Amino acid sequence: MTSEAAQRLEKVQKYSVSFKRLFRFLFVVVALALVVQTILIVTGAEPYGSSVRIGNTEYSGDSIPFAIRTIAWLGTTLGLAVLLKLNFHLIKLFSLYADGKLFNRENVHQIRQIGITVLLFPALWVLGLIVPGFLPTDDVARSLVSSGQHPFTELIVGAIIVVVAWIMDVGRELREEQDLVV
Amino acid sequence: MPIIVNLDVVLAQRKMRLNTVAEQVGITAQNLSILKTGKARAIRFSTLEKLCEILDCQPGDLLAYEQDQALDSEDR
Repeated sequence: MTSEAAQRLEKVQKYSVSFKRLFRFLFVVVALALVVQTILIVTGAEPYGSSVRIGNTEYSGDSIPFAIRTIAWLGTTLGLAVLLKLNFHLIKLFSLYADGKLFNRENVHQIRQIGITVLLFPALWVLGLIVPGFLPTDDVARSLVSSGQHPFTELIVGAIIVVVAWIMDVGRELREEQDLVV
Repeated sequence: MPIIVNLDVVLAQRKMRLNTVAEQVGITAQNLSILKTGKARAIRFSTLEKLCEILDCQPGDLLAYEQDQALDSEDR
């Protein structure tokens, strides 16, 4: 390796350590948010006391049924779990970069998993549209809330990342083949 | 693979170490070990030339072709 390449690798490793720390911090923040929102929803404390939201549907009333409250908790938990998964794979990826492993099977696997995780956001959005249709609404007011947000960006970005990971995998195989030329 | 690499045999005959030969050829000992253990996919003529020069041998001393292994791999 030339000295210039070694310096660039060192720079990559240095920044990767910083990114790893950042994503570890975010992981802890999201995990705490998961715990806090669980407590708030289960106890019916504000802001979840008088209304909960599932997808684009808001349920409000003095006493929101336990089933609806549980589904709302599950939906929010799944969303935060996907964020945790995303952080986990980013931590793993930047750990590999910090170790100087820039282009190998494990890297490509992590990038592919990041793409798949991003695709989970649109999946959850679709779930949020479907599930309220199956919930009982006898004693609770239900209203549609349009946030104006659609997950098409996440869908496209996730698909592109998965395709790029596939191409990187082919490149990695070709590189490993070259490494076996003496 | 039907191509057999007899580098370990020639090294033993010449009483030379892998690391020493690798250094003289100009490749890493790891790379030469890949060749020695039969994991290499290809060998450059320049590497083969240097090996023959250093080990004072012919390419045929280092490489052999076994038809039985070739037929086995075709059957698969």
